[in-house]
Amino acid sequence: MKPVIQAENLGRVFDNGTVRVEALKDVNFTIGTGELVAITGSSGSGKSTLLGILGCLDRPTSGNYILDGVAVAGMQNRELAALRNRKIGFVFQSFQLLQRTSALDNVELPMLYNPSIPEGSRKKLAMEALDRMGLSDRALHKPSELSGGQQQRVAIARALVSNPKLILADEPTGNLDSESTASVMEILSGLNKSGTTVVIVTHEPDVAARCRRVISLRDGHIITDQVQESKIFADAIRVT
Amino acid sequence: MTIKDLVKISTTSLIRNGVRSWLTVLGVIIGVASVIAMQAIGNGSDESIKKEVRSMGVNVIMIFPGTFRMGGVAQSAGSMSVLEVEDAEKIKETVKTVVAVSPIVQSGQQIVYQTNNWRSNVTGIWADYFTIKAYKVSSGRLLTEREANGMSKNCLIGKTVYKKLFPAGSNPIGETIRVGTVPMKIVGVLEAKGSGTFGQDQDDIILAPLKTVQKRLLATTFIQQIQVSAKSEAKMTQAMADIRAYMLSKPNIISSDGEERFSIRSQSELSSMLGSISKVMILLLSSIAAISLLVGGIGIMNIMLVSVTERTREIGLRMALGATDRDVKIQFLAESIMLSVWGGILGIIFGYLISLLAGSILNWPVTVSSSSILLAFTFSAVVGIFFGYYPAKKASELDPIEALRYE
Ligand SMILES: Nc1ncnc2c1ncn2[C@@H]1O[C@H](COP(=O)(O)OP(=O)(O)OP(=O)(O)O)[C@@H](O)[C@H]1O
Ligand SMILES: [Mg+2]
Repeated sequence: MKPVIQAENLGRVFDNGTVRVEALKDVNFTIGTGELVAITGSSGSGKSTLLGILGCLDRPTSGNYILDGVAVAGMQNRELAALRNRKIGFVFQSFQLLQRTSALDNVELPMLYNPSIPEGSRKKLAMEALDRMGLSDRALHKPSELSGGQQQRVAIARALVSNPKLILADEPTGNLDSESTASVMEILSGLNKSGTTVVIVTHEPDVAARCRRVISLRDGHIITDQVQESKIFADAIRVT
Repeated sequence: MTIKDLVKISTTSLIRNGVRSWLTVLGVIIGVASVIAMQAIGNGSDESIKKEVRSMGVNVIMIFPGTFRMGGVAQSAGSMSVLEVEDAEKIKETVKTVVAVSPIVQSGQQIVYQTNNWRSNVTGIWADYFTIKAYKVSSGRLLTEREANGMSKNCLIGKTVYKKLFPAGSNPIGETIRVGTVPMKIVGVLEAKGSGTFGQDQDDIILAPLKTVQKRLLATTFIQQIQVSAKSEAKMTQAMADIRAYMLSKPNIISSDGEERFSIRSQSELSSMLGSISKVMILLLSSIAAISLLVGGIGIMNIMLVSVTERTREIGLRMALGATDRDVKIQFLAESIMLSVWGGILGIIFGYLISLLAGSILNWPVTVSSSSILLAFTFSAVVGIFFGYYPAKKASELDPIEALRYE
């Protein structure tokens, strides 16, 4: 199993001159291609900070992060932007859709920054992604005209439209009811089944239970990193 | 991101904030329009001064009694006798650098033709005056030397006098008009000269023989001015020196407080004085115009800063999805350039219309040059880049994580 994520002694210190917060310390783990991993922990334990580094939105203050075999440390901001664009799909708790823009245009957004996708095929690819989310009939709707679950599915369509290796989701079900949560989890594990590595930050045990591997953080470091035996059990729940 | 994407994104965002965008564009419109209009009016005043100078005549030198000051001619008591017809004769005889000399006396008079009345200026002149001022007739003929230098009761009228006294299309040649108390026969109508720099009508004029005006009309011998045409432009300075030498040879020409009781001016001096007045005016107007364009630019900067703040989350999202800092910068620059370029285009149109309007009110030949259009357009684009750069840079320097969290 080729690793997608290699975190070596990751540390992240926020220092604004007066207050010094060690949000991450000595974080070590490896995530292989095709894994479905949950990151859990109480509020303030450093989950979002870790995900920011994994998503190349932030840089560690110490340690090494290797994404898909490439060390990120020495890269320019511009190269990081390209990495995010080609290799990573983000899903956020608050969806982060452009409000007065149609679902279709929202899904098209990442392709604007990828010159290797010809302008003419963008709409078609965006439509296909929406179709996979079962939203082809909502393509021209604005986010305000969609339910929370539908909005999150638009956001997932946007994350997968450029076929990323890795999907990073920060509390993707935090704003959703249980029914929408189930459908979003269904979609994410479906994507995982078709080969995409998925990392989900969550503090919902239900959500974590659907992931084969769970990494738990407390005060910025890993306390447990385990493959759940109960995964089979979780699969059983999903069927019912 | 293609140019098409940029245009689409900026247009959508500008249209979304319709009123705000229009007000910002309006600031630029006012700036650009005033630059265009001021240029046009300035060029127009320059041109009208050139025309005025041309209508003043050829290499003209003027001799006035009294001292010439910026405010006008200060005539001390008894100054009238400083300048006499005899001086004109002497100058013509003795000063070799001049080709034409004419004394001038002017007087406002009531002019009557049949039942029509008009108050105009009667100017008494010699025949040389036509050479000096380059007068031509549009119908009839000029006064002959015998007529002009004698006591003939023939006269020439300007276009305005003709219009005021005669029905349109009628032939005034040979008709008799009453000038004050004196009946005079019209032998020619002068070619139109148009309005002067200060808007005075140069065609509201009657030219009559000097002696006739002096003796019959005013019962006096004094003259107000002598005008002279120098042999050539190169001879102007020499001619002025010669005339001054002649004047100084007259007795009693220096007043008790040591001032010369006459002044000599040349047409080029006058025109450069007028020119400098108009240059100051153009400079003043242009700086006001430039300031308003600057204010328009500040308006753009202001609105772009607001826009960057409002769209912080959008910026964070675009960055997360793979936009580079350069992409973000260009996106906001495109927006501010679009604002300023629209302002530029509409400003040029408005400026053009204002120039036409101003031209017709001021009676100036306003010309909107293509270079001033190009200048205004470039200027407005530069304003867009200059004032859009700071907000765009600010946007591109946002931290994606913080921007995404922005409420
Ligand atoms: N920009 C920052 N400046 C200073 N401190 C920060 C910053 N971002 C995060 N922190 C601190 O780092 C720690 C970890 O924050 P983080 O957002 O990663 O927690 P989290 O696990 O995602 O919590 P939650 O479940 O509430 O989202 C917190 O103590 C937080 O206050
Ligand atoms: Mg968090």
